[in-house]
Amino acid sequence: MLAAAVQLRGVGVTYGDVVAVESATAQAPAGCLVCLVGVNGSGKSTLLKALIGSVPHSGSAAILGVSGRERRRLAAYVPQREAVEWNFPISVIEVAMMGRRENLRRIGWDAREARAAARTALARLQVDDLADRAIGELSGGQQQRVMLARAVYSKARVLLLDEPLSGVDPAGQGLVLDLLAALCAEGRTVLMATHDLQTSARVADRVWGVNRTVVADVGAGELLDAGVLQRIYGDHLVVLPDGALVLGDQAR
Amino acid sequence: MSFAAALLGWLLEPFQLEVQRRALVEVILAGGAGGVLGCHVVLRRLGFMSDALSHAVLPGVVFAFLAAGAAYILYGALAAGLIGAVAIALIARERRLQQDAAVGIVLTGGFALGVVLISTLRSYAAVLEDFLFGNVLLVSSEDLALTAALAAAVLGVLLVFHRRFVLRAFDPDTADAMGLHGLALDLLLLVLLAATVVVSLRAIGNILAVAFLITPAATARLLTKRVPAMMATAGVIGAGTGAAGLEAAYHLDLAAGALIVCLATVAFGAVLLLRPRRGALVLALRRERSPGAAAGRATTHGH
Repeated sequence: MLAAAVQLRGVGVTYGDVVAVESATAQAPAGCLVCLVGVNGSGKSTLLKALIGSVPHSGSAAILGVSGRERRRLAAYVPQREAVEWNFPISVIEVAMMGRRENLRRIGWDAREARAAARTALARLQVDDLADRAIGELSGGQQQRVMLARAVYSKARVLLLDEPLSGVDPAGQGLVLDLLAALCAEGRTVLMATHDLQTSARVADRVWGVNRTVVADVGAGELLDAGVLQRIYGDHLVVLPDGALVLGDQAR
Repeated sequence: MSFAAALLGWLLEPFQLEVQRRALVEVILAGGAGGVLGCHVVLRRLGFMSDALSHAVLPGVVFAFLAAGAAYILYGALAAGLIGAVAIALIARERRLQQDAAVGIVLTGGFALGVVLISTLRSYAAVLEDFLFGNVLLVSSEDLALTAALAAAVLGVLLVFHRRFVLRAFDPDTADAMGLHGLALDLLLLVLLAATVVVSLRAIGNILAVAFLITPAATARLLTKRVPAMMATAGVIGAGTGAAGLEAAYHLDLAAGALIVCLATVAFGAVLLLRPRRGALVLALRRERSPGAAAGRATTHGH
């Protein structure tokens, strides 16, 4: 049997005394778009970080069958918007160029071929005309597309994206989702943390419901099932008198 | 004699003395290296941290002075700076404390220890003054050699690690995800800061050393949009205000270190007010001339 593209086995993460994730077990095959849904603080971001190994964790996490430090080379990561210093004096092309490890060790000017490849990745997200602008001058949606272009440029087979649609306008969201579908069709695996249940139900191959652990691993069609939602959202799920389900203010 | 020749003669007059020539090289090295490294200080908001390191070198300076003599104070400063850098990094790892607490402890503790050591001397006021405010005319050839070596090392490390430092500052989560050692990079930056403080010690002294790390870089940030351009500009501003301050101090018979810092501050103020397109004074004048256009622009930015 082929190794899963991503695999978590009994993964736990604590920050000081706080348990962020415990005993999370899940896996996804290659070429799959997985949406991670759950309320704020449910552990979606922490799961992505544990998967790539940037937070200490118990249990085991593997990318393309590799579980040691080396797995970081196999995945590209896009952080939450809030974690980035957008006012930094750096151009769009320079941000994209950071996607490949070998560029980080380079001294002096960029290689021309590497720059051209980064521009091609920017073009896939339709932000290549902004290549020489400072990243801080772009709109929030354009900035997110640049970060995705950096992940595409990395050539990684697995992409771990933390809220990649936040701040992106509807037209931009369509562009991003089409790109993610194309990447999966190329055999890449995409894990995307998101608040957007409707989008997850529409585009995902699998949905992981996260509530301190992976409480549900379902196909997109089953996501809006009341029992599944109850497991994922617990008390945040409100039942209206007419029987409709509404999520509290933390998730839509 | 033409005016230009007279001016040149006046400018070069201080540097007929060897002691002034050594001082010139010292301030150019310290201002240049401080300006370049200072870009990381400004972009990562490490101003307070740099201040702490500059104060933390004092006990090392005094200890070396007492134990081995004036020729060794820069080595003492380097050792104390490295200890201070490691101490801040380690204290800041304690989850219950914020970094500013670590910085404050090292700053005051180190400085106080330095003053206590100085107070064991009978004539400590004069010695203390040289340490605190610098005396660039005391720079020896050996001091200059160490300064040059440290400045070259700082610039070399910055060149080799440039892109890693930039990613760590711009997007630390991705830096972690790509396997960069965040703590090691931060510690390396602190060591560079300590080395630069030592370089600045003779030129502008313990108290003002942080000025070379902040003011030229902050001025350059106002003028540039890319890190490499910012670094080059800050290096030129640091070295330039250093040289200009030394020149002015000679002709006006004023304290060189403090005058250098005053000049750097004036340069910052001038750029803040007068820089093309975005200077405060330039914007105010433009608003005066066409109030309608300015209001329209403000609305556009609001969206």
